[in-house]
Amino acid sequence: MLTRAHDSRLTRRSFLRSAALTAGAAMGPIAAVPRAAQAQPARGGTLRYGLAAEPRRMNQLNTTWMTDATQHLYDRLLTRAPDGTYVPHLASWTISADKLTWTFRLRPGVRFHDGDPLTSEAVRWWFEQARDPKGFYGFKGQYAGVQSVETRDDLTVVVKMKNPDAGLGFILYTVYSSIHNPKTYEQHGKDAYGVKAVDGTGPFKLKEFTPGDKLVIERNDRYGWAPAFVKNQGPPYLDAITYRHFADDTSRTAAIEAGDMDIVVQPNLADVDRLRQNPQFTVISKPMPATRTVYFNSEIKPWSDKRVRQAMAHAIQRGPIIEKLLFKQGVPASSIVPPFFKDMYLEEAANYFPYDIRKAKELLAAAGLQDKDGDGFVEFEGKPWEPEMLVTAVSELVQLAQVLQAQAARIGIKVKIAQLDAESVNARTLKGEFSILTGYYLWDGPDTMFDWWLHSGNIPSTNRSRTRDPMVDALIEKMRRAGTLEERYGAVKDLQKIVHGDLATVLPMYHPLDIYVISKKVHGYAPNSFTLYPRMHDVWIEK
Amino acid sequence: MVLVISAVVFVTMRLIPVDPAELVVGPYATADQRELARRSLGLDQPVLVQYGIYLQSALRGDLGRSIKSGKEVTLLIRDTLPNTLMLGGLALALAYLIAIPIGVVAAMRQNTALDQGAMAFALLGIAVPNFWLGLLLILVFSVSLRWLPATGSGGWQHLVLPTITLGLQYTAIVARMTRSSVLEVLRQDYIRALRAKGLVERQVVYVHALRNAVIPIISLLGLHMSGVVGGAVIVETVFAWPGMGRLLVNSIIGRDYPVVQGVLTLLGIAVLLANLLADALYTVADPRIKYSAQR
Repeated sequence: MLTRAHDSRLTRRSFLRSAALTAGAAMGPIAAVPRAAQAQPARGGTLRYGLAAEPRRMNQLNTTWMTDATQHLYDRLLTRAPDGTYVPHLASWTISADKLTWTFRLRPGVRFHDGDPLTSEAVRWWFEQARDPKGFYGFKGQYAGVQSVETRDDLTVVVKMKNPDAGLGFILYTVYSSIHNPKTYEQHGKDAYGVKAVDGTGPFKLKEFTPGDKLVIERNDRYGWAPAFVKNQGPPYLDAITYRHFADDTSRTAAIEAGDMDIVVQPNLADVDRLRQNPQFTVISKPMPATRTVYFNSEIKPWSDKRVRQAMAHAIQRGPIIEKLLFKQGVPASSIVPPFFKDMYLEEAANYFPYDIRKAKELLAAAGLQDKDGDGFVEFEGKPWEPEMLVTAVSELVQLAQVLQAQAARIGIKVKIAQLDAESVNARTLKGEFSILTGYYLWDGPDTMFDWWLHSGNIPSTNRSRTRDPMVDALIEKMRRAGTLEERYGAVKDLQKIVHGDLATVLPMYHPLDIYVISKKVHGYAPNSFTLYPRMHDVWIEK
Repeated sequence: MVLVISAVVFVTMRLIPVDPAELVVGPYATADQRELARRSLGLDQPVLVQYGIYLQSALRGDLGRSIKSGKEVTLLIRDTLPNTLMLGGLALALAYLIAIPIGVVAAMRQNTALDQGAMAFALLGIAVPNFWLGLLLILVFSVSLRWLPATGSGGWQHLVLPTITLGLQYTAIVARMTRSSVLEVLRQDYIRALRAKGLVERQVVYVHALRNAVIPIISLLGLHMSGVVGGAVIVETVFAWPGMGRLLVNSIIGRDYPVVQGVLTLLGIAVLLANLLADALYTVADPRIKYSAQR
């Protein structure tokens, strides 16, 4: 299926259909580890897990960078089931008819790692920390709708809102709203907490964190409050998990092949097909909440003319990019929203700006860009035009720029590639000194990306395309104040119509796949597209 | 000199267009939050004041805290430096123990198959990139034969492949240097005189020639010792060896400027110390240097 999905002759729509099927297959519980269903889970053993990103401090009040372990050290008030719906975890909740009061009823019997019971006070403390104007919490904006937080009794928390905001459920689900024991946090202070000590209610406890070497978490034997959809409702089967970081994809791949690791993420893309043939491993490729994009600086001429941006949109062929650049480990994107977010993905986006060179040239001509000197490239205002594309020295981005350069040349746009260090790209982007830029997000709430990337109030910090459109702003504000998810996702669909169907300030290129190489000795590992960090409750190792 | 190094490193770090505040509050924070983080990191102060504070703290042994991991930089260095010294020391020891005899034998048997073989080996050692050699060794000894672990740390087995990978490049350079140095000495008049006296060739080479030929090799050792962290960067990355080279690279990639600053300052000091040690070794190898220094 994946092979067909990446046939460059196929249309984007059929690509997406296949991708959705791939997503469905990958989301099935433990589909790729068949023996798990037959054997009895065994308790014990240490899972060795090879990461692509270095483990960092595990205190989200002091960093926006997360590490996989954070998912397992803490719990959240609510979570997402494998089908993407929000379900209770540490709390069940009700929302008042006017959408201005959220009442959380905490699950009784939950304890922090140090033995303290989870109370409503800890939850209230968390809300106060997240909203603290002097705090460093990077997602304070997601709590902007909260007016006050009160505790009604030991297990009840009442959150009053300034305005309805259905998006609150999303931020409360993420690892960035993990619940801490305030006592331990304050004992250690914001710098040492999350480094030397962690006190959550999660299924694993921090054992050892040696930056540059390893991070070890061990089973929380007291654990018995997993979300309802998790099979194992007791403590995890594993004794411990050791995380190691491998900066180099090839080394990470070699580590599992040599038996040093039990699971590695993001192996060398060129090795994926070979690893699939190896009977010792299961390879899971699943869509993830991520999108690679290309931006135009919509404030400078001629990119400020949407016909020029639309011409580029018509010139892009995503199939060859995915096949040659990603070794088929990606799906073409027609929206910032990956298709598996069915509630907010706009199906018709797949039809926007199909590959059409003739149409692209017409649009350029209509915008006054024509090749009058016969050199094969269009001129702008009577002068040769060579828009600059900024990329960092990451091979994937450099290659993407080269492919785009070739594809733009087909419609007569001569793109110049400027390869710079990340800091220079960032500095020039903030000043608006660029024409074309690549963008990327890895975030399990793609609806939020519209806010960060496209609201005019976020120019230049996060709105790098400098999109300034009153309808887009109005829809984002509607999204921010939506009382229900249906209303919020409706606004997200309308945004896709405008942004991807008309403005074309941000062109979605592809959704990369999340790839896991898993030793056949490991069972119960079921990565899910909706979450960035797969759960470990059901994982066990065959002895 | 240490002050100069620390000042250069400090100023260089400030010239890089990095906003460390973004590392703390993330890409989606408001301008106010960013400003708050900048103030908290002391970045709102003039650079001279920042340097003064840094120096004051450094003298107390406080090099700041990693933005990424939150650990004290001194602790990160304490955890990783011994690993790099162990790897670098073993690689250098292996290299010099193998390379010096190879170089001497090649010089003694100049233009024979042995000499050409030794120099072909040296050429190969210099030409083969160590990341490629490392991956090749992993493929053969870890993935195929399963004799040795591919990555990580823990026992002596973990050191074998990184040591060979890192050591081979040093071996190649030292072998070539030894050969040319010995050849040069062997052409000297006093060697002819020793041979005329009837000394056996082994005595001529090992007792008299080598002692004089070793001076440039000691210079090279000084360079190698001071560059061991830099040299180990790639090897530590390929083998996921928890050393200071890997720490430095990951910190540069992660824009973790307090760690980069601390490690670079330490490296500068290491270069000074290594050169000092090399100077001391000259006097051991050649007492005349010591004598002239005393005069």
